[in-house]
Amino acid sequence: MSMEITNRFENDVLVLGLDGRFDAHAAPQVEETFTTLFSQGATKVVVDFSAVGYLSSAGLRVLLVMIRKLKSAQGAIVLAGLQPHVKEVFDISGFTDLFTIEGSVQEALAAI
Amino acid sequence: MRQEITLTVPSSTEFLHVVGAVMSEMAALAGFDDRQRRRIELAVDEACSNVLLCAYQQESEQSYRIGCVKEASELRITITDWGQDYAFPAAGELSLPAKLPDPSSANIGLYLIYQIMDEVTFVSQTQQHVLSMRKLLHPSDARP
Repeated sequence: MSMEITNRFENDVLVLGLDGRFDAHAAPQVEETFTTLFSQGATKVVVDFSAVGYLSSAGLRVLLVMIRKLKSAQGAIVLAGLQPHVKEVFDISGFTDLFTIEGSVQEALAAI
Repeated sequence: MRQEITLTVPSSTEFLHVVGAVMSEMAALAGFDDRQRRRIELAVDEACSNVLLCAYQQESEQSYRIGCVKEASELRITITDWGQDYAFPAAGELSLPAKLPDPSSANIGLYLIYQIMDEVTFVSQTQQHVLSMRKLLHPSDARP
């Protein structure tokens, strides 16, 4: 089961849309997409989680890679639209404190 | 009543969602509510991902076995692999992943397993590793 990834720019902010399970199968695909766009200059990123129904540690690790690369480039990342059971994975692992999390993409764009 | 299923799963991440779906359904049959179903699915996913990463080092031609036993008030899951030896730290050896400078997905996954399951034991035998996880059905976790 592959994940669908979309990307678009809102001014200078990359909006990465994820649709599917963000697990060990999908994680390399998301990391590769991000790495490509980051190398092309994207340093402000909103990740739309509204269509992500499942998140595992492999997804969390990719998000860590993203935040570290973006911070090293004086960039930023905001996560949007986490479903409650996905948010719970952040809470259990302590990742909630590492990321800015907003309810919607619009709110994330305003916050970044 | 004790009921059991056994799966033999190819060592590919492609099958993680299949395992997850089966475990979620078994948890529902055991009486767990939706939240606990999702958590059990996550713990098993993490355990399987760990096998793929550590025991089989992402080699997809192998297989591992998952046994799932449903009892009146608990679910017991056993994962057996025949891959390379690997460490499975005890709960006390793991820190909150967010506090680590560079946590691997395996570190995060093991932490999640210990947070979710009531009992976790890992036995490394000759050419075989067995991870056993137990989740008790507390009244607050039961389906309405």
